[in-house]
Amino acid sequence: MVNLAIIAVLAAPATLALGAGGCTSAELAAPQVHARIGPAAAQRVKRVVALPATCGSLALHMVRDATDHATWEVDECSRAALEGIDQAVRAALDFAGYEVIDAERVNATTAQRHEAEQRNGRGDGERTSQTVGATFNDATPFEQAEILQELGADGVLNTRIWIGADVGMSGRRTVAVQVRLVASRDRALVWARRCELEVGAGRDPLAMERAARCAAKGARPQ
Amino acid sequence: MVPVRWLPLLIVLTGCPWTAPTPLARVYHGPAFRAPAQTLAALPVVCATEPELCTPAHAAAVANATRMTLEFAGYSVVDSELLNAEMRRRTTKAAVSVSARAPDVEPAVQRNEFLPPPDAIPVDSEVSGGVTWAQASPAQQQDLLGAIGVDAVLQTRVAFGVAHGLSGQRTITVSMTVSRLDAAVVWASSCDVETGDYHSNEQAIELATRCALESATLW
Repeated sequence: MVNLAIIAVLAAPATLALGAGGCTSAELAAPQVHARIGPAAAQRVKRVVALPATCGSLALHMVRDATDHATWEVDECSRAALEGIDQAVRAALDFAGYEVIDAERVNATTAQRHEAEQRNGRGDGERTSQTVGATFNDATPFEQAEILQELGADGVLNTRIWIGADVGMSGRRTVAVQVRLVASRDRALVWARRCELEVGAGRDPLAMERAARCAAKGARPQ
Repeated sequence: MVPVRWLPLLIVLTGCPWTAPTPLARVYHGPAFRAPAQTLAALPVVCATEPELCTPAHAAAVANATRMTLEFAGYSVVDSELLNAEMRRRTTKAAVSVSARAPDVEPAVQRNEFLPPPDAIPVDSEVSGGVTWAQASPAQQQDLLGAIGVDAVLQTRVAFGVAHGLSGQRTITVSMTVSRLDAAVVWASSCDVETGDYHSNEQAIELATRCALESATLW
């Protein structure tokens, strides 16, 4: 009787593991790619201005400040992460034959730059630079339309990233990246491509990159 | 054989709803439904509840999910937060220490495990001046939207119900309305999902957003 009890206690974690392993929720869903061709697909769109990616995430992390006050914040949509996704998407489209122009690098006005360098007697010091101007993203829609015309850009590319909420004990979540190209003349859709991945907890940056590469793959100019 | 004294407990447990209630979606086609709305201006998501429950991150997540789904469904969506009524001014500041001992010009290639790259130069960028769409007067807002070819406005709301039951569950409602610039409703969609035993707040927001969007775009 005692032996049976010991076996039952030892077997309990194994039973739990078998039970959990048998759950369908433990298996990650296969990547899904959705593509849509729009009414402007027949237009010649080759030179495109790429807007910065936008991001939203429901995978919140608790952050405690000095007073032990807890707040829920998003780690995944950091500026560095979004810049990385932008570069991955733009590089893929560049390679596919598009001429991609970074919107952040297009000046709407001529910028003014002021540089100053201060050094002490030993030759050490600080160099500062201040640039005041406006980029494509700071302009009004009318000014943006003029800039697109001046650049000879016939398309505008936007990227959206979405990270879903944690599901299950493993904290798996859905990461989706959507890349969309519209004609600059009338904002008609050329194509949109979307890739959704399901990943375990703590793998968002890698999943964002994989989803971005997956979404941008296969896009070619007419 | 189940002891008789456990029977009441078993009966009670069997009667418990172990599966989450099905999300409940409602879709309304307004008087302007027959007039096609192609280009939408998406307003910021309104999430008016206790700040601990609904953070700006929740609102940003719902906004992005909504906009990307509607864009994929064929709409052209303009983010109102990124719309400028007057050009804005961007000031970028960078500061770097210089030393008499180190060379002023950094080597072009620095990705070397023996010579790791220096800490990134802190760049501080600030946007000021100008007028965003949200700061403009209602008349200016209307004029700007009309001038850039926007024919409808998307309004999205997230609402948290009052906590009820032993687990303090709440009903989370995500609702979205597309109305033309003259305020005539094109369509509205709303979905309720329960939190508590069944879903975390974030899961419920995700489910309600997907449910409201799919109900609106899959007719």
